[in-house]
Amino acid sequence: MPDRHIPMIRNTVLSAILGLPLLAAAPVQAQSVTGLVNQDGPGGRMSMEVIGTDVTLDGDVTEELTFAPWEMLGELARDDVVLLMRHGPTDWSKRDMANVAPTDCDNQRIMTEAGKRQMYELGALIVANDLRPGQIVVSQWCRNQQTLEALQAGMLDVDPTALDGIEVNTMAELNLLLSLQGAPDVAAMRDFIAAWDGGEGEGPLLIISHFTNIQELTERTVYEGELLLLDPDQDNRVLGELKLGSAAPDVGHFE
Amino acid sequence: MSSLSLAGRTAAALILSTTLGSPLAAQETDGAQDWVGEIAPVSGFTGEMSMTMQTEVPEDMAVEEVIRFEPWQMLDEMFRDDLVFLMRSGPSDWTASDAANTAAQDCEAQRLLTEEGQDQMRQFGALLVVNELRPGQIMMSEWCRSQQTYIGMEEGMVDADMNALDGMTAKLEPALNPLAAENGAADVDALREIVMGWDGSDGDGPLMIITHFDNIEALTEFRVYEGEMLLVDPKRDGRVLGYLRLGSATPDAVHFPADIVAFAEAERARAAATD
Repeated sequence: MPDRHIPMIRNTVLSAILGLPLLAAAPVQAQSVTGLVNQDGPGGRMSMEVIGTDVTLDGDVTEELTFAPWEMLGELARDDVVLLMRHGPTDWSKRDMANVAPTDCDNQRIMTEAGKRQMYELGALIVANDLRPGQIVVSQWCRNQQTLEALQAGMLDVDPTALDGIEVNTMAELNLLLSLQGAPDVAAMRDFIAAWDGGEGEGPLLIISHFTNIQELTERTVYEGELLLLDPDQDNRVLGELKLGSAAPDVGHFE
Repeated sequence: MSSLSLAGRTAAALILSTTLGSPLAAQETDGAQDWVGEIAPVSGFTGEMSMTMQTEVPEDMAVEEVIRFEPWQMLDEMFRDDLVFLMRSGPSDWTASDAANTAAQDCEAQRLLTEEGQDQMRQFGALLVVNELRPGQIMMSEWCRSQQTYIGMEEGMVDADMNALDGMTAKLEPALNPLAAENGAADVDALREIVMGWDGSDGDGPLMIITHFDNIEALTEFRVYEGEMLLVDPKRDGRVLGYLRLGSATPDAVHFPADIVAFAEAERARAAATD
């Protein structure tokens, strides 16, 4: 039944424009949680509110998901766009060993506990605001796998069915660029993005990769846990960015 | 192996292990200026090579530029003689374009370096020599802007050390001419052979290749700015280890999408406003 899911974001856009109450727009699967969106400067902020008693969220979600420009809200409703994300916040006191293997977690920079919590809240916000991806691909690097796990936990706590039918794959082609055992270039990632056409129509493609890969492809410098929205129909053009309110420049990539 | 590149390695290793940001000793070759190179991290991932001059120099020898490189970890490998520095020609005048059927060396019918771009390449050359990254061999496209890039770099290298070119060979190579051009290279097969065949030769420094955006993208899948160089490792199947480029380097409007160029311009304006 193709129209079983009514993408809430479309209702959210409508609500924001028409000033209608947002609660009415909540989809059936997440009826105990609702997303809220507010315009803020050139962009906006998404938050969530628990309105039922049967939600098993691990503590309050206090984060907000900021995005810019405001106009990207309409594009976020499309299934044929790509969310290109950098892994979540890591502990910079420990760097990747020079020739580290992709899955050697003992010799890599990995996520902080605070970072995992933030990615958990990001997962909850994504589902509450109906930004649920239709497919997920992730680098083999440990911090990316940790990001995925935390996101999935947050998504499922908002809606236990959130990941039903969602394909999740690890892709070596997304591994860290300019690391000796990482991806040799971004050609495979670029082609994978360019080929995304919306899949089964369940939501956008979510890619969890690295700063260097994202910079080589888009020339943008992104914070840990930040997402760029890319349009394969426009030569992978960047339509906008989303990041948590807590996102901050890291010592590794920012002066 | 020459004592010069040995000194480079030792200095790099020293910096890596203990003395981050301390000045590198200027090379003690006769003819070298008293210019002092310095390699320091800018962030955990990006490094910077700069230089200071002990005595005042004429304006046309001054160096204000710095080299930025990523990743910082590349410092372990950067001084190997068996690497290839794959470079795109320097900043050019985009109000001109190559005539469709321009001959390789018909400079009247080609896009050329700006004066500023050529001066930046001079500074790049000086920075390379002072920081012990002098190439042992240089090959360049016959196109005028590649030759101008070399001429600029050569001037800076000689400024830094009047003997900098000793034992270095520099030659034109038609296989490095632009891919898309009518009289350009047909493919990158020959470029790949040159890169993969480089083994460090006499140990006088890496191979530097000056070619064009399309050739570099076709070979490596990396999109480089004007004057940017990729460090390519033939011993690792041609893997790109990282890049070096001047602090002033930016994406050009022809090879990079409009939104990327606009974003880079906005970032520069923002950085200038906060300086």
